[in-house]
Amino acid sequence: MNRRDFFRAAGVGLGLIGAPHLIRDAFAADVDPLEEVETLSAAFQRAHERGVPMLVLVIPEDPGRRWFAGHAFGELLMHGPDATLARLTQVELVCARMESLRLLVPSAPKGEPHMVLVQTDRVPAPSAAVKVDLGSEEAWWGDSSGVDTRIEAQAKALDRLLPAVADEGRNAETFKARLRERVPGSHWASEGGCGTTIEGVENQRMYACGMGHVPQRSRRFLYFFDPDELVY
Amino acid sequence: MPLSLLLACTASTLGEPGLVLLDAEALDAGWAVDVDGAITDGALPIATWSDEVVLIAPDDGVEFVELYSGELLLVQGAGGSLEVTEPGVDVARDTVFVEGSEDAAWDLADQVGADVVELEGEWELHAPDLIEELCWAEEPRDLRALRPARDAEILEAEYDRQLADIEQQVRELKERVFASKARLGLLHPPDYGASLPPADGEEASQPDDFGALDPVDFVGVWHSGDACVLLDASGGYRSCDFSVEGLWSVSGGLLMIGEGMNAWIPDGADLHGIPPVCDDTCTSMLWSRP
Repeated sequence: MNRRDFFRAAGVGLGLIGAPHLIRDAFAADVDPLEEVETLSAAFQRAHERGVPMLVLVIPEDPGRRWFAGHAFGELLMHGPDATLARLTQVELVCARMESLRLLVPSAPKGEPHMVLVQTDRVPAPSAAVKVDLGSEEAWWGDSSGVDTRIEAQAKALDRLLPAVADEGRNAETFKARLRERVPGSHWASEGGCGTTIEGVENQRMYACGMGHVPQRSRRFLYFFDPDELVY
Repeated sequence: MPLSLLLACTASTLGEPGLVLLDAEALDAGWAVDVDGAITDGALPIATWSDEVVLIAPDDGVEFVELYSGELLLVQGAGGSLEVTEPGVDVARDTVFVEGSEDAAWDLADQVGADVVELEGEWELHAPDLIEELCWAEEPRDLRALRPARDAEILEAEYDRQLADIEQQVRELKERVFASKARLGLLHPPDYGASLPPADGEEASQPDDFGALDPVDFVGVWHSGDACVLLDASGGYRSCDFSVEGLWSVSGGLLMIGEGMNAWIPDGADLHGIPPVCDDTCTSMLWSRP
């Protein structure tokens, strides 16, 4: 086949490729899957350009667990040990559901691990599950005793997977400075006992009084819902 | 055809002749061959059953050259440099290059039943025992000279042909391997340890070789107008409406998509320096990342 025929065939083949909005129909309505895959795609390319892996903070499918996981991630990222936060300067962070991750990385682990580390230096891209026991969800609400346990469990899993970084203190500070920005695929949010504020989103405040005391180190967390939709 | 040559040719029962061939520079300079008293200065090979070839120099000097049956004497350059070769060993027996017009090449090919391949301004003829068969042909008017193919040239051409075939087979095998792996689920690394750095003394796994381009650069979502395609990090692709899916790879500077080998190089601002290659069938397909 000569080059002209080659591209003519390409044009025919690509004519079958449909509109991007259709991909949305294949997913649940709460998260735009195409947007999520594009976020992952951009993170994958940034990681590749930096020569580092992509660390996916997994957004659970279950809405209840999303709150729990978002707070656990917030606790780690905001208050984790320097040795772990320094290591996180050597990955590209992004948040996504496993269903979207598997579209970009079909080799992603089965199930719904807490995090997934994806290598970005080759195709097929290897990936590894980062499983963490966060303890009982019921025990979390209003109880500050579990914060240390959750931070420690997450840090331990990451320290085992990611190589140590020199000058931990300085690198940890570098990482914390980045937390002023969104972790792609999520919004930062903060809450007291009676409401939630999503950072960077105007005209929104969700009131949910009665949910009890929120531990100090759990107040800034990753919000995994559409900011335009109120979630109580 | 000179009578002496005709007589020589019809005397093939005498055994395999020796052959003499003058190149273009030697002919232009005025070198000629005396065969049994008849002087010939044509571009076709000259057959002789004599053990001795008589060369006539441009200054009418005479040079006697010993030539055995089955040998080919090449008279080269204005100075008449001589080289005795053995067809089938030093030069190809079945191939010659024609210097002259296209008509001359086809005329010769018709006379001896040879195949013709055009090669950048000259023509390559192929036929069994071609170099000897050409002795009996009538010389076309626009023939300048004939050049025997050195075996190295033949080997090189054959090498190029075989290499192209092998590359095509490799591409097809890669597609099949990917398809098999995908069916068997082998594109999935088995466990957590797959992404750990290799232990001391352990050899690190090597990425697949997809060619000169880095396939990782292509992973992700690509848009072109209303069209959208996702190239995943395991070598699979799917359209954003899931209606089309298959395998992709990069090879030979092209992004190859699908078993039908539909291919495009996406055009956009962040294509890692890869030049867009497209013709009028796909100028509207300008691909870019979101």
